[in-house]
Amino acid sequence: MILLLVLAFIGMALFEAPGLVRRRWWRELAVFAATLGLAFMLSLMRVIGVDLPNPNKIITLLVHMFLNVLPT
Amino acid sequence: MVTVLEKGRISSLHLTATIAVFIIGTSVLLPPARDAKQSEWLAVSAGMIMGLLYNAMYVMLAVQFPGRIPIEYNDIIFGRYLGKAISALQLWFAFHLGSLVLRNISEFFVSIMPETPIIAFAVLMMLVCASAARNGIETIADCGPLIMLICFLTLFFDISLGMKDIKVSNYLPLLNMSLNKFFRESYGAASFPFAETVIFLMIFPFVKKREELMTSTLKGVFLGGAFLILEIIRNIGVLGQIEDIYTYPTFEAVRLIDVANIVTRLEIAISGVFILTAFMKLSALFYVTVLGSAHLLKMRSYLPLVLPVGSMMILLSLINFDNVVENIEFAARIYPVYSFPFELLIPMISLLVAKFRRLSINKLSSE
Amino acid sequence: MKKNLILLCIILAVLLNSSGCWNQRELNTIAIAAGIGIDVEKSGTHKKIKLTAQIVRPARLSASSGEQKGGSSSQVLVLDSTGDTVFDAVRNFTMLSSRKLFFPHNQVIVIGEEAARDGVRPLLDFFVRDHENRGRVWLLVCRGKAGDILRAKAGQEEIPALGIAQLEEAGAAASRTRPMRLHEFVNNLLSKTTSPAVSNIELVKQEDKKAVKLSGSAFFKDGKLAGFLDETESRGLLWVEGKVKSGIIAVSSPDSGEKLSLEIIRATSKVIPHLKDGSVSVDVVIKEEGNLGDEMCGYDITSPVKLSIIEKRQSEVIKKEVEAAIKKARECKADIFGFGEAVQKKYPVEWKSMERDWQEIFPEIEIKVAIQAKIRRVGMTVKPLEPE
Repeated sequence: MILLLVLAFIGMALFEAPGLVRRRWWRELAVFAATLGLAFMLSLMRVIGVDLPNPNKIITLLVHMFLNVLPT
Repeated sequence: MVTVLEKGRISSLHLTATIAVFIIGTSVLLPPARDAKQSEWLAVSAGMIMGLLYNAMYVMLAVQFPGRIPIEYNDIIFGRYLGKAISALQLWFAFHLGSLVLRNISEFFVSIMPETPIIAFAVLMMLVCASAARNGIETIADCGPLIMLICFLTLFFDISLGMKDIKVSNYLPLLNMSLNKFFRESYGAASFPFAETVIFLMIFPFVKKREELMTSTLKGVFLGGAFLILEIIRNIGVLGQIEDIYTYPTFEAVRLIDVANIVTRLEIAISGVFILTAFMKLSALFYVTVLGSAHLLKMRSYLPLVLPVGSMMILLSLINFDNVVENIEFAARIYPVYSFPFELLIPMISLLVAKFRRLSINKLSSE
Repeated sequence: MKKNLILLCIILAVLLNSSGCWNQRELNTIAIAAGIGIDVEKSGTHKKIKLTAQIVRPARLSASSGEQKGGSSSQVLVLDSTGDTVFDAVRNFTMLSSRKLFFPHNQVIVIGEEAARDGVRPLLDFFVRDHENRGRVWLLVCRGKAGDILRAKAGQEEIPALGIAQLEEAGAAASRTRPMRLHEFVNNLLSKTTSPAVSNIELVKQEDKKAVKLSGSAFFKDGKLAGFLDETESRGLLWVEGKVKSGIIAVSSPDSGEKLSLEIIRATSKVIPHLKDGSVSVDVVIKEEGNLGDEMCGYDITSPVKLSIIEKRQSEVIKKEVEAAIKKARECKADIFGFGEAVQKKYPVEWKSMERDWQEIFPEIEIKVAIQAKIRRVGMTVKPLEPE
């Protein structure tokens, strides 16, 4: 599974990066590397079983807080 | 200027069809306002009227800043820092909504093929949408009329073949609930799916004829709403009280079609509609996310963002819900409140500020 | 060029590895269930679900379609399996059938009397919840064990379950039983007041072999089998529901008392509830059209007056059938007609106070039955087979 993940992300990097390097779009390359790295880290964490924070739980919490403030 | 990022232009017809299909997507799978029971179709109709008002507001806002996406004019309306924060929030909304759509359609597949891991469907769906988003808005919008045609043909056959199973008494008693509850249900229907078209604020600038923007948008909302309402009317008529119980009532209603034991098992056709419309909705949301992010990060092209954002969307769709019950709870109780600032508050404030302070494109270019 | 070649390799690798479906099921790995029987087995306080599945043998079917092999080998395999829950029992089939049960082609669900008396809601949940099952499957109740029904011969079909399904459909020709599909039944189960009725099937002996026969209906109260309707009462129920499609009404002739038969061509019904001073009454209006099918009495019906006498007698027969059904329903305090739903739809506000006590209110309500029966045609002859 981890191997598959690594392969997928290497594939994505190979697909996008050479074109960016050729055009010397360093800013784009930096953003690409950063976002791809973030995506890879998060996916890897999920694959090895780290519990990622669930944004829906946060949204649910916020909504409940908001509703409690309201006088209904 | 956003034209650096996207050179494609779409016609009014394409916009209409895209909006209609966008509204049908996933809402036909998981119809809104389920708690209204046999009056569901009334609640959705009321929701559609609210949705039309919402969309009129979005178009009015778009007309104030022709050729610009919200990421650009947020800076002017809210100031540099608050504007950036609001842009980021709007992008988050599109991104998160995309992950929800991806989750819903994959969840539907898994409920039919329970042994297949959900990620298999999520990845396949996302790959297609990523390819669509890479090709730009023109490609996405080009699919609109074709998908809409397929949708309405399926609707026509489904309803005409299912007509004989409809029991009129299933619609009675009409409006058997408090006004408060009816309003809540119709507001829920307005927030999902009708006002989700708020993300089209980032697509309006690419429409060729600006003077037709209002009519073509409202036409699209109306067509999508009509499709949804007709399906819901059929579902209630055919299923009656079990409509409440099923997770996917449209699917179950089509399953019951049986003409002389020959024309039967038509659920595959409606599943096709689910997939096509979800594809459209997901591609539009995904496209908007990457385009807006690229603009926010001052990139020269949004293409490098497609793959990373796509993989993050898959990831988010996987961790969104631990189980189906959380999904239902979120859709019914949390989502209408959560979507309120994105669908109503931010666009309304933007419009009011722009109108009162006479902000417009001139101000933008002089800066 | 090089890039394309690499791309091609990747595509090929992906295609070859991911072809086909994850959940693929070939015909030789599935056991197509044609009919399911549900019974309960009780030992002391312990209750187990016993399922009987009639499984189609596709190979046998195609081999014997040309030459019948004296009926020695059956085209279906009937297996039993037990479990703590319905799904558990379904999965336990894999222990003895080598193939997994496949439900989309299931035709009938037969519930044994004992299981039905304990309540069908828990038994049917699986069939509504599981994605493989279809709402159009026929639901029947049998006296005795459902397993015995599925082992018997049914009609002319090689697959007995298919035969039962066709009996249900053909049953409409006699209108003496209440054919019920799963989705409609579940719909009625969700009502707090309606007592839905389903066909009752039983074993008979024909040509020294066990065969099945539809006989009347069984009705449920609060999800539990509450009683049986005989054939007259079943038709009475069908009249009120407007579900009579066809059938024969035997009328005795005014002069001799011999019978003549009228064929029902079409029938409709209207149920109109009224609420006056807090008491409910229901008007049932039944419109029927029939043709003269045969007469065994030599009654000359050529004059309109004579015909109208027969029409009147026809109405009386219908009325008697309806009243028989009403009597039974009142005795058992079971709202088999769904009058409660009709009242709820017309008077949703007042209904709220009645809903709880409907079981007590229902037997007391006034039911007015109005019948408008017509005879349209008399067949190819106008006079009886008698010398004038």
